[in-house]
Amino acid sequence: MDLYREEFMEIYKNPSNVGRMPSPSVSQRGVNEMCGDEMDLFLKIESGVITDAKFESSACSVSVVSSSILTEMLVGENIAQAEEISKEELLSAIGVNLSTSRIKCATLPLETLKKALEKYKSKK
Amino acid sequence: MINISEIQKDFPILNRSVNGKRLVYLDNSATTQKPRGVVEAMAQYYYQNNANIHRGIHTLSEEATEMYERARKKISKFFRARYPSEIIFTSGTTESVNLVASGWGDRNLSEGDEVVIFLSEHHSNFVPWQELCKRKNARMLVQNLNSEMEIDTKNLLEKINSRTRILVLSHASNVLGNIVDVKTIIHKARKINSQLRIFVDGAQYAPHAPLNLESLDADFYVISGHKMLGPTGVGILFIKREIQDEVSPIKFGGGMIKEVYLDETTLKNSMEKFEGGTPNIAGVIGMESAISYLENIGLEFVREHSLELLDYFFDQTSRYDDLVFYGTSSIKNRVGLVSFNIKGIHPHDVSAVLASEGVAVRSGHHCAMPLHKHLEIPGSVRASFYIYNDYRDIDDLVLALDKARKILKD
Repeated sequence: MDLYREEFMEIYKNPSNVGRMPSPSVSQRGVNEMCGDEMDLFLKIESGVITDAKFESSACSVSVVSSSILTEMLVGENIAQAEEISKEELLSAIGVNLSTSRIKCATLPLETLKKALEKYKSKK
Repeated sequence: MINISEIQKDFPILNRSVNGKRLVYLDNSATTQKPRGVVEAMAQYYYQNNANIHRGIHTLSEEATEMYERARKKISKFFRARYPSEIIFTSGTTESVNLVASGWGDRNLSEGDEVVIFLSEHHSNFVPWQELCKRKNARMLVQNLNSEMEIDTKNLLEKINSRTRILVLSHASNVLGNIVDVKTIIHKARKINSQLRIFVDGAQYAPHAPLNLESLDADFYVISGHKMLGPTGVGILFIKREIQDEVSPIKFGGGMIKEVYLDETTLKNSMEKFEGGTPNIAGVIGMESAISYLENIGLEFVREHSLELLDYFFDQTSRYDDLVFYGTSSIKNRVGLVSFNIKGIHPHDVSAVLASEGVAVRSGHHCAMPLHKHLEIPGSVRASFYIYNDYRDIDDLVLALDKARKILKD
């Protein structure tokens, strides 16, 4: 099937940026209300630029692949650029056709990111 | 002997394909498919008899009223209630639970009173009671299950005392599938507190085995029509006759009123007071047809058939050591559903691969988050069987599980 094609499965089996960060600038938990999946996102931000991003989750392949791709996109971006990452941009980076019931799995990391950035800005 | 292939012919949807594959429908605990007769009964009503009930003095209205009340009679007999008036039609199980939690609970619960309930309840039989307890400052005592994921009756009975106003439990869990010996629990609980009210969620039990509401002796029992061949939008709420006066309606409207004055209204005494507004007449008529269908097959047969499918499923999957099953290991204590996980694969991924093979199962927390938290899993895959499922469906499920392993694990 289209969803589980090779490139996708390669990321799923070896995702980037998995793990907890010892002293992040901000960390945020995200919950997919539809299924109860959870993830933690950790960001290191230095002089307004994201220098490291990590995640940990108990989630499905779509969510893991999306987290891996998103955290890779984030490193090197400034906060304004990170805020501008859209759902469409992320979905097209994941590059597989998702059924409506799986879109939420893919957008969980993005929603978690938006909350993390809000939290970071309100702390500053 | 009833032939499953003959039953399958009554369900047109089973002829369609999904993703180029034969449809294998194993999500019956969410909703069952509908036999042709149910859809036709509703169509016939709309084509021939459609009118509002309990109102007009004209032929169609009288016909519609007669059909609606005939359905109530039939359904009350089928579930062995003492009186048709003990059967109230709602929009579904969720409305039924809310009607009792608000209509009975708001009147009868006081600060410090106790509600005894289980962590395995479906959200719709958990949250209304949680909200009620919050409104009333009452205590909600959430009971755990034993290591076999069954109710520990002795433990439960120790929780019941003179402060306990209501005991809330399911006849069968929508995740674990365990059949609960509700009759014994009710009998023993009443001996401890004769004023205790007992609420039973039968949404997962009623489709699978014969039920005798009179001898069960619950005060409230809720059944979901669409989980037993009926249309969506029909809930069956049983309230014991002696208890009906303790319950206020939660919606007010036409059809339930005796007299209205500018400063006061009196309500009808019967079950009609709970059915304000125009009910789902066509749905109830469809439900009657579903009950007739099940009556012809016999719920004893449905039960036997479920047990055969469960036996076959566990037999066919026994060679895999990466499957984790939830719920009792005793097949005879299950309704026709099994929740499980393949170790190392998220349930969503399993069901997505299954879907691509035409196999429809449910995955996720099945609206039972407290239970899944207790089991320390994010979710599970649930396969649930009904009368039209056969061994071939289970073979296809097992093959699709193999495919999921191949894609996601190798």
